[in-house]
Amino acid sequence: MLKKRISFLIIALLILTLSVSVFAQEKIQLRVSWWGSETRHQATLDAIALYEELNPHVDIIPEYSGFEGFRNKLFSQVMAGNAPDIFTTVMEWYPDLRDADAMVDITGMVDVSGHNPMYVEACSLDGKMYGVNLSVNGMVLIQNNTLLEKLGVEPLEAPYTWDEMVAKFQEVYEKSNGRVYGAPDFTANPEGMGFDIFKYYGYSVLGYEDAFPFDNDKFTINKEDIQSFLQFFADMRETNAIAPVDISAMNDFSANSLLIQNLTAYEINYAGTFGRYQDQTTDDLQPLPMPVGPNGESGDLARPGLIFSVSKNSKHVEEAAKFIDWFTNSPEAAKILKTSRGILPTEVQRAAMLEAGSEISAVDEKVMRVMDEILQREFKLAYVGPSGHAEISSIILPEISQMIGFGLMTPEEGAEEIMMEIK
Amino acid sequence: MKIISRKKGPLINRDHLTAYLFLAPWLIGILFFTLWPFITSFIMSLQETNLFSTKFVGLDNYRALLSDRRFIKSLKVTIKFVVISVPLKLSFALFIAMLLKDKIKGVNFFRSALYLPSLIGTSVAVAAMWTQLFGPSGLINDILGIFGIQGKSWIANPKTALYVLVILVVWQFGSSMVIFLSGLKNIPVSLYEAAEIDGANKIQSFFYVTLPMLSPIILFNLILQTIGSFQTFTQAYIITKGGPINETLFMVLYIYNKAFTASEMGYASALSWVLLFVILIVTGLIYWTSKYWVYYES
Amino acid sequence: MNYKQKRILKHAFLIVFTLLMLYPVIWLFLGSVKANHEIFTPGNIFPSEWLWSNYKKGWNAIPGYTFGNFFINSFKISILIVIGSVFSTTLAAYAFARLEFPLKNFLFTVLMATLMLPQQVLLVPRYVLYSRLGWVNSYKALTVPAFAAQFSGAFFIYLLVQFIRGIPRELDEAAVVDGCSQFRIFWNIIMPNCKPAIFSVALFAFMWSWDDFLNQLLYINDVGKYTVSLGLRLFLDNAAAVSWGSLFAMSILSLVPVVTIFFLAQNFFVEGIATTGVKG
Repeated sequence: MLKKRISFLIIALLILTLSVSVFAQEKIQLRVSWWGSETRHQATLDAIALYEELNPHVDIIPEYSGFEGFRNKLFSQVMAGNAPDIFTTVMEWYPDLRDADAMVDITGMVDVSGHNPMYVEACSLDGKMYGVNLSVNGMVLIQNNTLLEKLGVEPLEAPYTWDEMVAKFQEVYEKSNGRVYGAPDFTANPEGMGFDIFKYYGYSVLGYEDAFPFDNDKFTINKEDIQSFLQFFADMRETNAIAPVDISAMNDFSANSLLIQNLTAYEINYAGTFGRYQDQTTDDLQPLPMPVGPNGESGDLARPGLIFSVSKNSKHVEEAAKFIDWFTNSPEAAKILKTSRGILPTEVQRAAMLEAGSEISAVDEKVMRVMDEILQREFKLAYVGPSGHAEISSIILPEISQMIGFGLMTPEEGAEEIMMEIK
Repeated sequence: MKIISRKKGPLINRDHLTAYLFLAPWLIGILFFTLWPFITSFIMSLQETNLFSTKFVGLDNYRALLSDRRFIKSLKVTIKFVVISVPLKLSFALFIAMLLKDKIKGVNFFRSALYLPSLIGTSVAVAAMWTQLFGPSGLINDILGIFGIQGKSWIANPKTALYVLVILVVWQFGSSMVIFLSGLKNIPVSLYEAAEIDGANKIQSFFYVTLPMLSPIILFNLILQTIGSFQTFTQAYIITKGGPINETLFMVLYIYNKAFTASEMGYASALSWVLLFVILIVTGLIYWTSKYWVYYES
Repeated sequence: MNYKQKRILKHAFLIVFTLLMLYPVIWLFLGSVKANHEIFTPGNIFPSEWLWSNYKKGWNAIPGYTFGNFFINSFKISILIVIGSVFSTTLAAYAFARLEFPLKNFLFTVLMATLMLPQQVLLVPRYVLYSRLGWVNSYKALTVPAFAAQFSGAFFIYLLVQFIRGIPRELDEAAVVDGCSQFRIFWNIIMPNCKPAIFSVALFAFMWSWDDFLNQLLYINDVGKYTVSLGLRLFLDNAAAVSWGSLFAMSILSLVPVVTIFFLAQNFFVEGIATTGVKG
């Protein structure tokens, strides 16, 4: 009897596992990877749950982590051919991912009619759309209103010119009797905005119209451009508008932030980081659009914040694209995702979020207002640049800038050195 | 199993087989898990390669090293760091181990508390607190401020940045301390008693009993700390990023930059193999001197 | 100065010195009960309000999981690695310290060389290898190599070799005369006599696997399988706001198991040798 019962049990189990596996085969599995902090994890998981409810045939496997090591992991996965179907990336990684043939062209599979065409273009290479932008972002000048009030300095108001900005920096230094600098030396620190400000500077001050300082394959600048930029910073250092190198070199946006420590009254970073600064101080911070040239020239780039790309080794490219389509276009997704990745990429989504939005925080509101202002200005296309250019922006520029700051080099020699490295 | 049988007989006899049996797990590990990545990295060092496309260039990468001023700088910085930090850390660890080897009140607490810094590892939290100590408005400057000295950032100053990192690695002296402690505990008490009978004072017995008896452990710690110190990476990566003006650009940080920022995996591999040989030579030298100062009982 | 005065002086020194050494840890702890806007701003080192809720918030911060899950996972991995490392490295160390075999010097150089090549250039080839073995998203890639004395294995083998060399040879030669097999000598004479070293190996294996980050990140995809050190990084974006208080709180908690183990086990390893008394 017992034997019979056991064999029956085994058969039942077999049937069960078989049917489960058949059932499982019908479900399409999509691996999706991203990085972030707990707010983004929660929002994304909620959005995924809703998507699975709407599309019962899809099973999404979330793979999320912090930012640290994400790039190393992604490139290891690409090399081993087991990257997630959908992975998060940024423009800076595009050249290497292109060389690795890691991304699929999803042109026509995702509806991008609601997206700003400049951002769509920025996510494409050679006419192939390798990813979809998840958030619009822009560079801002962050101003500490509380500190300025204490020092008796009138805050800046947009639009303002480069000269007005520098004059304001100097005023801060003078009114504080040298305790507070205008801003950190952005070029002097490896994580700094120096190179991105350089891009802006090229359009706003140097009069470039397109593809500065590089296009998708090569650098397009000459020595004079770099020298002018380095000289601009050397002059600001001279007048104490910006903090000296031995204070600025370690500036970051948390533990060592000069802005948070009240050592500077201004800072430049992307709008997406504003919340982080404001969260770390009780001072009233305000994001402003970047300065303009004498005739109002701005240099804002249509630079995607985060991008979703579909992996070459994905077996379900269509389904992956469908998910991205929903994620970036649908109002339902917007209501869940809110500002967890910055400002939502499409007009429809932004409207949907505001409609639902009793929970928009004061910080998010400030960011959205400044992004509105920026989005109304003239935009330049963002280029991914040649492979390995990150070495110039995050290693060589800070190194040269530090040498100039410590008086070991002139801006001209620095410009020559950078040109040599570019070659 | 006669001792004589070890010297003669066939190339591989039963004793050798026994030895290889003991070695088997490690040998399997080397063959299956380590050999292939090692070979791959060596082949890469002969290629011009970003992560994905490759071209064989022979010894070009190695030749390019000779005129790479950042490589020369990083080699200098690394050697300076090793020479300063290793002796400092070891003498520190030995000093604390001597204090904590005897049963005194609360010794368990002190041992654990002083081991704590090493347990913290090198996370973001460590970077945050370290920069809080040595930053422009950090604790050190607050203390100096009391004496009316206005300090700047110690981390961003090219003259002091390296020493901030030295202090950090010396602060994490715990693992060397543990090894010293267990070594100290292995020294027979009878030797100290004998020394005392011979009229030696504490300092004499330290130099004539402790140091010689501990010398194999000192050698071990010296070699391991030297290797580890040559490979220092995380501290510089999370705190100084190699700056200011490359004063903390350790070899491995430079390798990392080349491999993952500049996408020049081939060049990074060549750098790695050069580093391997530098370490091999230095540790070989230490090993060679050891016969003059290390005392083995057997 | 009499004996008692000396002892008090030594204690006073130890207390001051320990406090000094622990200042950064104390700073970290105080940060774990502060509001975000008080951590990095200049001013008082003590919080204006003690926010113990950071611990609760941090514990439950990751949707669907608590840090309890991550602690259990970390324990699983670390314990396996401890067992594997002690097993494989004691065997190899005995061979290197006591036995004669062809290629001994060469193999010892290989052993040391595996410590000398920077891990950074091995990351990608090793990942490709393990992924071909189908070990990605399991603990195999992290634990199986420990049974074959890889990762920090070479360090442990060398540590044990140095200790075994310190054990008088007369002991095992006597055993050889008694007709003991090599394995018996290893098990009955060498192992008991290098307890402190074995303890150190176990402790380091535990601690380093507990702290390891990059390997765990590479080989684990599923957040349900995440460890403490991966869990801690889940707070950290490269742009958005970070709950530093919760992060610091969990960092402090992550220290508790290792400190406790060290605190409880140190007597065993420090006194262990005194009670066996072989060498006295």
